[in-house]
Amino acid sequence: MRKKSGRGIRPYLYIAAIAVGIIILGWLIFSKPVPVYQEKIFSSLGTVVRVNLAGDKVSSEVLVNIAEKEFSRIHNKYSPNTEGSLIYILNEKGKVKVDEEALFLFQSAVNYAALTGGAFDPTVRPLIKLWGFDDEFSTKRVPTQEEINQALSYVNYRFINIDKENMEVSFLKDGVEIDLGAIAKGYAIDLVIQRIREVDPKASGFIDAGGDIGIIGPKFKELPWVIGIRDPFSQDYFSAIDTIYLTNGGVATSGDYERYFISEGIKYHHILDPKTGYPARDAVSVTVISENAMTADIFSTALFVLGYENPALEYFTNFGIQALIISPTGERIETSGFNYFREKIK
Amino acid sequence: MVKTKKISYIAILTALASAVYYVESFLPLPVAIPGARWGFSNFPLLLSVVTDVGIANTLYIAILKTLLGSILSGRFLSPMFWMGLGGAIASALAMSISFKLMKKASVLGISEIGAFFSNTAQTLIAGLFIVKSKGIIWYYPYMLFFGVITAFINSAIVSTILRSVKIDQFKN
Amino acid sequence: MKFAKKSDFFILIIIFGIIILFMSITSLRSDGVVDGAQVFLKGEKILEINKEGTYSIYNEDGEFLMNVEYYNDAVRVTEASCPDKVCQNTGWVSTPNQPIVCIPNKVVVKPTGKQNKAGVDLYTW
Repeated sequence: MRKKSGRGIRPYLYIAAIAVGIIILGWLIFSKPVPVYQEKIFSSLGTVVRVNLAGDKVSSEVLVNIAEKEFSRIHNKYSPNTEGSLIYILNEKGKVKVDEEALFLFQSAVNYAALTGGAFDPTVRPLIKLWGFDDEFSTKRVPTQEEINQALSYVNYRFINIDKENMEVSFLKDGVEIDLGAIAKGYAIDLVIQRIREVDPKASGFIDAGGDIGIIGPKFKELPWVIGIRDPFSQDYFSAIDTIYLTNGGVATSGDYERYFISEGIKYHHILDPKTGYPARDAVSVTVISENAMTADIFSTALFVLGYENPALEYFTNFGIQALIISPTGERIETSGFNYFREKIK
Repeated sequence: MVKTKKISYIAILTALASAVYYVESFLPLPVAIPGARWGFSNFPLLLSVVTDVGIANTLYIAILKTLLGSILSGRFLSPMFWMGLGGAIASALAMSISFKLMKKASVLGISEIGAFFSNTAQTLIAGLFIVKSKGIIWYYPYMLFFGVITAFINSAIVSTILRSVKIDQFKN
Repeated sequence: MKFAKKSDFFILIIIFGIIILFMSITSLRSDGVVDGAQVFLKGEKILEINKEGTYSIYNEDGEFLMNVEYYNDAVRVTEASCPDKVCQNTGWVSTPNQPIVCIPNKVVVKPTGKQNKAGVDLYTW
């Protein structure tokens, strides 16, 4: 049974086919390939690291694995709780042979300690151990004033001696212990960003190491990443007191809600003032935005210790940072350029 | 003799559909939904409908092509199999019924109706039993859109076959 | 049997109408909606939650770690065995942008669903 298709319908059919063809072609031309973000969460450097990356040339999975490997290398090299790490050996024996990278990291730690007048001090570990903040499973207690005075005698960044010629770091006093925790996280983030830019310059995404964040390029190649600053007065973890927009750079926050215990109705948190040996009380949250995550990390700790009433706050913008400080009563103070990051610019 | 002819005709269509079902599982899809497929194996089904072999026989072809095709591709009783089976049965029923009801039905129209019901059934099965998530609704319009394209291609194939091959209309 | 007729355009228009209807529904619901959760232990996915309910999480030695609850498009952790209870204090999470993490137990509970493009992507704390 042979039948020919109807004559009258033919032109309509061709028009319909051409229309469908044009729509599909237009779609193919105008729809940019959307980057596919790959996320990985792993624990490293005493916190949870969340990387979310999308490659342009390289597959996202490869980039995520680069990040994880780099973090685990830094963790094994610098974690004070990992047996065999540089810091572990240094704390045990008082001296250690280092390579170029470690030398840079130790030197940075000492330099930033000097810059902040000791508000950031890598040698607070004896104090941290005393309070029990060195590990989640350590017993946390309020030490006596004598114990604190004893521990304080070991806390000073000037006890670190860096011998560049022999590539050796040593302590000038027995009993000094170092913890690069406040610097290693930011350093690891910066290093991962650098590695990823080397293999894929157009990659985008973020690295979030326990609230310390490094941003690599805009989201979906066009939008800034929206970063919420945690409300320090809220029990709710994910309620934002403020939002900032970043397409690159780093941001870090130090807050009194991160690690703490409550004894006799008083809250004791993990950011200890290297001068007094007690938790710093003059701020509840400090957020620092910087070119890289390491400086953001260091200055968020240092400015937290220096507190809300810091007359020299504006001076710190010379180091390329912008900061927002929230006082225990909820008042806010910020550096002159912080407001710039609240604007959603491309 | 007519009966033998009909049986062999159905057998040929089933074989054709199973083969297409197997081969199309290798074709890449524009939407990433587990278990979703282009649906080109619907054209023998469409051919069986427009040559009026009857609802029961069309259903046989639909079920058999899914069974054989999934056994061939090693996906028997997998989520993809259930989605394919649901889609095939739904489109077989929809196409047969619309062929019976619409006296002046055309190949393209029946094909589009079949594709629509096939995709709807697949999405429902995936959403209710496989992914168990409301999120599948997000993929539904995309599946429908590609169903429209596939149905157009299927109906073009079928009308070419109708024009160039002499097939008797099977009147029950 | 004709290939196409004018009545076919009505069928096509109806189908395209349904496509546009569903596209607009899904684009209206662009804010992140949680439709389940994934539970990771030491980076390995151990549980996929799709139905509402309370789920107990155990580690590889069979020790009880925590309960994960998924109700009304939100996920939370209760009765955690860890000392600091950070995961438990996180409370209800109703955005797929933010996972719940338990550092001591090495557990991550990641709500699943369509990510929203507009809201906060991540938090600094």
